Amino acid sequence: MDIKDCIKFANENPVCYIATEDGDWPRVRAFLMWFADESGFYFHTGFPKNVYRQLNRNPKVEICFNTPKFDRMMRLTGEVEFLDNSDLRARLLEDRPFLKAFSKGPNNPLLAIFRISKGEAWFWTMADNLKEAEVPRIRF
Amino acid sequence: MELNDVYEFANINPLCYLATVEKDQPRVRAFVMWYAGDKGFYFHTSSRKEVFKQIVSNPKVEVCFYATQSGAMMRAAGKAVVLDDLEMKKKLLEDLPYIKQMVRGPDDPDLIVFRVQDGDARFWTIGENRMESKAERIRF
Repeated sequence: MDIKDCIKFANENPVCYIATEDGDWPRVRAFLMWFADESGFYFHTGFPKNVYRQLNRNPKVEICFNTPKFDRMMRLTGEVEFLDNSDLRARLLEDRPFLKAFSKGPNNPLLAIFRISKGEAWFWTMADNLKEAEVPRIRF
Repeated sequence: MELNDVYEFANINPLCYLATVEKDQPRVRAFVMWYAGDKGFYFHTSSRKEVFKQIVSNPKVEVCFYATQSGAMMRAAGKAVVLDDLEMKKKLLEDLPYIKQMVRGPDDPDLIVFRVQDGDARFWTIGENRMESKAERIRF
């Protein structure tokens, strides 16, 4: 298992749950990942959102991906990096036209793109239950 | 929305994501909730799992429930309290017989039941995107 498996799994199962820290409270909400490739796992959000404020204060996240049948789970831990890049924002608006309703165009900084480019991931199935510490971590 | 709506939503959609904080690192994993009602949300786990160590050192958790049909999401934040109650554990093994394969019996010290209590829940739909802080909070 290597990072290619992690990228493939995330692209096939983009509905995921991102946990952040808010003070010492954990927070978690569903996200639809934009895409993943060798350069990282890409997401977008909006500046007025609490998750943006939380990530600015503590960029550490954990993300949980699952298959629709819940027979295989991937947990990914890392730090987010915000990308202020109008080319990337233009590409996002092409990929997800519904975001145009929230945005005045690719130069609109209300559209925040972030990625996790360094961290570790691991896979879990029911057979790995109670073996959390033994499951190999994949560094990326 | 009332407390009954909160518990009903969780009981209809027991597959959820439970976030904890380990020092300043958020953690999240999928969970099948046992049931909701009567003071909070009931879960079971094993004392050998990392999540158990995490809730003992910081009981603050957030749980995210999602209704696949409607796309509505509910987030409940509260304190995880471990319940050392043999009658309750017997009831758990009756309700969820598959747990019997993982424990020696209701008095197995590895079997942990906890309740997420003393917190608040809020609902979210895509129509309410970017209005997070205005969402009504329902105490439980």
